Amino acid sequence: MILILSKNQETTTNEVIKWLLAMEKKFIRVHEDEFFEIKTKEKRVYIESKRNCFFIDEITSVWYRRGGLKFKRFKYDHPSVDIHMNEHQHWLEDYIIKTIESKKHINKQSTSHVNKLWILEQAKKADLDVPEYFLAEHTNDVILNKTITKPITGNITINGFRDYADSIMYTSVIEEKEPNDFFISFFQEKIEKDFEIRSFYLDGKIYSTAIISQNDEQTKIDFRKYNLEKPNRNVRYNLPKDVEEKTRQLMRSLDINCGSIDFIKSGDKYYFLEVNTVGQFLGVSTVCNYALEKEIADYL
Amino acid sequence: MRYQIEEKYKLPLTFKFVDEYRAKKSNENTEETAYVKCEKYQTDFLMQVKPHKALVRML
Repeated sequence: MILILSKNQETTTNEVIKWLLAMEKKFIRVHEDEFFEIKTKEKRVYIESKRNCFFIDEITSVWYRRGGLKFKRFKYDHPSVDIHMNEHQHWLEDYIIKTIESKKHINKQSTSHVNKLWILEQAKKADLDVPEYFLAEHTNDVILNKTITKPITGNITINGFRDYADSIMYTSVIEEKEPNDFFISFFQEKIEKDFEIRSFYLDGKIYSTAIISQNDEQTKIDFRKYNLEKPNRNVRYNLPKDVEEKTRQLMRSLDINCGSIDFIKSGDKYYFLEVNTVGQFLGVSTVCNYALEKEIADYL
Repeated sequence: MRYQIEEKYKLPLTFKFVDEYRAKKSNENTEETAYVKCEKYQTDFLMQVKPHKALVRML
């Protein structure tokens, strides 16, 4: 039995499930709003929510897509009993998650949320080329028009703020100095790119796509400012073998076996930008005929 | 800064570069997405996905 940890509304999960159904593989899908109770029956451990109930030893493989396993935790009246029981419940939950993560898996709940700053350091250790970066609360050290800023968060959207439309924080070039200090922000050297590369990584295999975003003013700095009228051309691409090997080394060091990795090609250099473990890959999968949804279903 | 956000504490510079990616909250979003509840897929939000490529291109 395959365990899929995802969200109720998640298109990529649906597309993988389409393949699992075709392959006649059985699966359990857990939503983001499910809370489980840990129980036992005849010395076997099972977990139960309003939607699902399954024995842990039934699970043969796991795909951590989004959300995660969450547990109901009981609160006790007496503070000292509560402290003890809190720890008791913590270790049971920890045991369930560790047991599940020890099975064949695609990503793990415990390592899937990555720190962009930490990853850049690890990428440098893996000998990948990384554009110079720094954190600052002012623009004193910023070289205008040659520096970009972008969020360090996984979620780059601002939705439902008053009457504003749903919005996104794109990578942007700093064109003027700021008169006032601001909250610590991330700055990085702007690389003049030939094109961008998005590589999908799955258990050591790398499927790359070149995104020709440089010739369009709208997508030049951030290709996610999609030009819907005249979309960027996306074509299959092979990274040099040494860049692929360094990428594998990086992913192993991060304990992540699936994710989308962004590169910029500039001259003969391939600059590493970031890893996204929960990114959307259906677009490049379709355009380049990679059938990544099938690859995931095959692996599970 | 497109957003006029008044917060007690400072915000990162990225807030200066927030840009719209969906239609405004008003009635401008006319494109409705239809979802169906589907037991087989274990979701309440199965959406009909339009193929990116025309069938003739796949033949």
